[in-house]
Amino acid sequence: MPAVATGRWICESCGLIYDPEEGDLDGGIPPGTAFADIPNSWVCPVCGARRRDFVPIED
Amino acid sequence: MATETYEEHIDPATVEGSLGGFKLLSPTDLYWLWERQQWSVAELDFATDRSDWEALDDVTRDELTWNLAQFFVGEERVTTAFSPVVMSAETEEEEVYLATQQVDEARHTKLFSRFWEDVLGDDAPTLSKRMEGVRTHCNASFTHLFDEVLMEAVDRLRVEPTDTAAKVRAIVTYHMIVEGTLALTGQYFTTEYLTAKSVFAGFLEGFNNVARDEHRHVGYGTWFLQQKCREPQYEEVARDTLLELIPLASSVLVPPKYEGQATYEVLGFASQDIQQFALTALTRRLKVIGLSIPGLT
Repeated sequence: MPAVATGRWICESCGLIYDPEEGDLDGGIPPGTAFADIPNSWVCPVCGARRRDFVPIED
Repeated sequence: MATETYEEHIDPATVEGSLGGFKLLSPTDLYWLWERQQWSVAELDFATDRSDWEALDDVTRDELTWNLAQFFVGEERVTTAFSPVVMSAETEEEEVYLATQQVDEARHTKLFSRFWEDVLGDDAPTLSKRMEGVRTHCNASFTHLFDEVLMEAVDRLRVEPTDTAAKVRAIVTYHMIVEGTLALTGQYFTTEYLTAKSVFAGFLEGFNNVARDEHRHVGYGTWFLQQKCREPQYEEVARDTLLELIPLASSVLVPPKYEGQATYEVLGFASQDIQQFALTALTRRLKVIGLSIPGLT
């Protein structure tokens, strides 16, 4: 069965999951924001990794 | 953007959800990431970095030298100072992960040493001699943090590796303050500058690799403190250490030429933005750990 994109992304360095339904309010990202629409200046709230260090989660 | 899926290298059982109640990667997960994220200082291509350096104005050279000197000295100091942390491992899995971090610190030292030699033209015959020159660029707060505070913390752990309170203080000092607050802030703004100016392609590749390693290290420190701070006596040690070191960390970020001044600028970035980035990074991490600091979180 082919993998299905979930819209969620995971930080390769610490495992934090970005879920677009929740966003990241403390980081200035409102709920409903797709990962692709997060600004490049955003960093992982746990380890400080940049957007490029996240990979998509597939079901 | 990477196309691989996380299942290839992370145990999904360790992943529970987003920030609230977040379960972090275990030392074993972090070890496997380390294996996948190997890199080589020798293979970096510094072909254009030297000419980029020669084209910079004196002010930018001074600011970059100060900024990178702190990384260089920090990495060199920690390469040896990290041994007591490795010895304090409570499981074999943690020991294996911590050993990888010490290797990382040595590799980072070699990156900065190569930059000093190949790009800045430093001709010191040994690393020891090179460090003597590099240390002259660091400010007094930096020297106090690395030569006294950090060394005292790891020395206490060396004497008593099973002292959990000593380990909490060492991990807060190193993983939360040195790496999680100071290094990640310096890396963020320096990387932004070098990328925007399209300079130091070889060094920038290495510096980004250093940052990726630091993210793994901070992930470990956050995991460790999340475990320990469930117990009130260790939560208190962590809180007291942070309250003691946050003002010192703030002053480490000030270039020597601005010492004593309320505001400053580094590589075109305002002090307010730099300090806010550092504080935000720390407070968000403390939230994951579950550690509240009066007036901060």
